[in-house]
Amino acid sequence: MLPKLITFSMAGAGASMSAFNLLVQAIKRFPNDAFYYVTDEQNPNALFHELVVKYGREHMEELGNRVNIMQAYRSKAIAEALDISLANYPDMHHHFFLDTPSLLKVVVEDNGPDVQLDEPDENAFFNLMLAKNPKVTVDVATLRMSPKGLAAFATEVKRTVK
Amino acid sequence: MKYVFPEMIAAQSRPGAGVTNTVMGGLYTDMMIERHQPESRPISFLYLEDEMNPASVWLRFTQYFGNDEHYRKFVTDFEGRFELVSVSPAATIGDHSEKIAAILKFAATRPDDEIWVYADLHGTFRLSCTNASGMVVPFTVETGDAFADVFAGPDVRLRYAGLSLKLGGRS
Repeated sequence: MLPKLITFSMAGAGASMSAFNLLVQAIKRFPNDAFYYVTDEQNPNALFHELVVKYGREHMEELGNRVNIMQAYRSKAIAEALDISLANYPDMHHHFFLDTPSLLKVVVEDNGPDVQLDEPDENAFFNLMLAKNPKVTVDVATLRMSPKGLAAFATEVKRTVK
Repeated sequence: MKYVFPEMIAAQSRPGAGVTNTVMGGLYTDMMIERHQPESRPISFLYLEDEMNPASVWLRFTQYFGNDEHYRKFVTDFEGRFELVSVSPAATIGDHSEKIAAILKFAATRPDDEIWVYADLHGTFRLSCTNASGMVVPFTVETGDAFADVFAGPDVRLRYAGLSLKLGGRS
C-alpha cells in the first residue's frame, strides 16, 4: 500500500505525536468520516482522553465508534480492524492511521516504496480490501528502523560522516 | 549525492498528506521544550520551505498558538534564535545553493548555538533503500553533496526532513 504520508524516524523523534496530531485535525476536517488510529506502543486510553479534552465528552459520544483508537501487537489486528470498520460503516469514508512501526516494513521498488504489513497473508488481505474499497485510505504510516537496520545504518554513518 | 540523517522523515505520496503539519508541528514542540527545559548548549531554530507563499508560512505557524499574546511572548523569547525562511524549489536534486546560503547565514548570526533545521522541502531529499556498498538498509536519505556537507559538523542538526515521493524523491 502507499499511504498518503509515511514518516520515518529513528526513535523518540515525534512520529506518534505527529500522526496523532493529524488524526485530531482530520476528525474536525471530515465530520462525516470514520477513523481508525492503530498504535503499537502508545496508550489508547490516554490518546482517547486527549480527544475528549480537545473535543469534549459530548462530541466524542456523538462520534461514537466512528473514531476508534486501538492497540495492536500483530498486523492481523490491523487487517481485522479494516474488515470491522467496513462492516460497521460500509458507505463511509474510512481513514486509517497506522502508528505501528513494529508491524510495518517498507520495500522500495522501482516505482516507489511499498509499505507492507509484516505478515504476508495479512498484507495481501489488507491490500485486497484497499483495492476493493476506494473509500478507505491509509492516511499515515509510521516506520522505524529495526535493530538490524540500525546496525547497518551505524556502519553507513561511519563511512560517510567525517 | 551524499547521505544525510534527519531524525524524522515525512514523505508524502500526494499533496495535502501532512508533511508541513508534521514538520511545523515538530518545530513548535521542539521550541516549547527548549523554552521550558533548555539544553546546555543554546539551540536556534530554522524552518525552510519551498512551496508556500511566505506570508502563509507565518500565518500557518501562528495558528499553533492559542492567542496573539501567547504568540507575541513566544516571538520575544526567541528573538534572533528563530527564523522561517522560504526558498525557491530546487531546479535539480543536486542544486541547493539558496538553502545552503540561508542556513549558513543564520548560523553565522548564532555562532555559539546549535542550529536545528526543519526542512519542509520537496524534491530536495531522495529516499532509497541501499547504501553505497549495496547492502539493503530500511531507508536512507540522500541529497546534493554541498547541501549534505552543511549538516556534517556538530553545529547544524537536520531534525525534520520533508520529501515528496513522486518528485524525484525516490531513486
